[in-house]
Amino acid sequence: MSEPISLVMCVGREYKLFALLDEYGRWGASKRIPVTNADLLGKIEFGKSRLFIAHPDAIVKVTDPQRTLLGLVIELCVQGYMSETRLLEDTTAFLDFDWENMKPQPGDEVPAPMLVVSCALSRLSSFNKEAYDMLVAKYKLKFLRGIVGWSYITRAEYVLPEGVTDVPDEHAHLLPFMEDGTITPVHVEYIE
Amino acid sequence: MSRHYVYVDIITIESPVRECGKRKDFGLYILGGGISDPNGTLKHFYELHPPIPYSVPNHRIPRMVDANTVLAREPLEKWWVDSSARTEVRKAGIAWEIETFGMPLKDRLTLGECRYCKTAQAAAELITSKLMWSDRLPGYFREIADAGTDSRCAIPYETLRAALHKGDLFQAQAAIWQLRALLPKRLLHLRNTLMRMLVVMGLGQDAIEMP
Repeated sequence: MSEPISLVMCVGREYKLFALLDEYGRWGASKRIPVTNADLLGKIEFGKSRLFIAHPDAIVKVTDPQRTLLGLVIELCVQGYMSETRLLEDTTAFLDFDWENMKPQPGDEVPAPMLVVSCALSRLSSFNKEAYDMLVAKYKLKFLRGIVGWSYITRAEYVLPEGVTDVPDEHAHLLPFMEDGTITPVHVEYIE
Repeated sequence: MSRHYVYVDIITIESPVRECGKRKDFGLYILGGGISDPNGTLKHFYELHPPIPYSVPNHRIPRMVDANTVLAREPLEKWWVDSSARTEVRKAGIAWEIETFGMPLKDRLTLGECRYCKTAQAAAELITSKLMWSDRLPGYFREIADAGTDSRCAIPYETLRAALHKGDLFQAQAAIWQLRALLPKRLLHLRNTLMRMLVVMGLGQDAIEMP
């Protein structure tokens, strides 16, 4: 049986990595897609197709030749910015790699605990910008896009404002998808 | 304006306010995980340790991929399926056209020397038949070098330098067009130099029609 198609979507840098992972872990992935791309919903299979999420700060690279990723991790731990100190039991896990043109390919080596490090830096950028900027300058950090995780796609929802029961002209092509159950029209009530 | 009434039940859902804010009215969302059935509940999100490098410029539109090749960390070109695969082939084609002619083929076949050519091969043959070396080329290149370049122009600038060094005039004319397309405002005066280069290379009609 052939594999149903899956999707890759990017999130912006303004969406902090640590907040994204926390939120998606609790409530699942949620991404708005252009309504003009609704036809792709006919190609995915709910519960089997996957939604991969790419974040621009997923991979951090120390570019100062005098410093190392391990040094950065030790500093994060010592300063109390990273709580996963047990990771330091295996220092070989933080061996840094060089990639051609700083454009790593999917099969290229990336240190296994990378997501923990990039998350710690993302948290630091939110709560202590000064310390974050200092580390970025000191280690000459570069951030690279990577796929941080995935969810099974389980539904598609179309948001109608409260009290509205019809769709604008330019969204009329979505109605057949609503009628066959691919898209669920919803009103949203927000929980504080 | 006609009304497009939604004849199916509209469900009211409760949702937390996410980091990206409230959902947009009339927005279409795809959501993942959290669905339960008698066999269990799908996990909301699976983190990838380490993340999979994705050296692709930011894109707003979802790209269609084969999940198995993504998770197996196979090369990017094997990931794409369906229309995303066709897009990649088209992009690769356009990249080849720009490398060969300095512009997309559809532009090349409607401009200058190649205006009446029907195919890429005919255009390439016509350009090759007209090209000739001139001792004035290094002087013109020096004018460009003296003006200083911009980081955006670095690749065509280096390509032009290497092409002139090797005497590869076909590559040089492509680099001239690429350089013209990327010239920043402060270096626009170099357009005249680029036109002169095309004239002495035997591509006078191209020079006349250079935008």
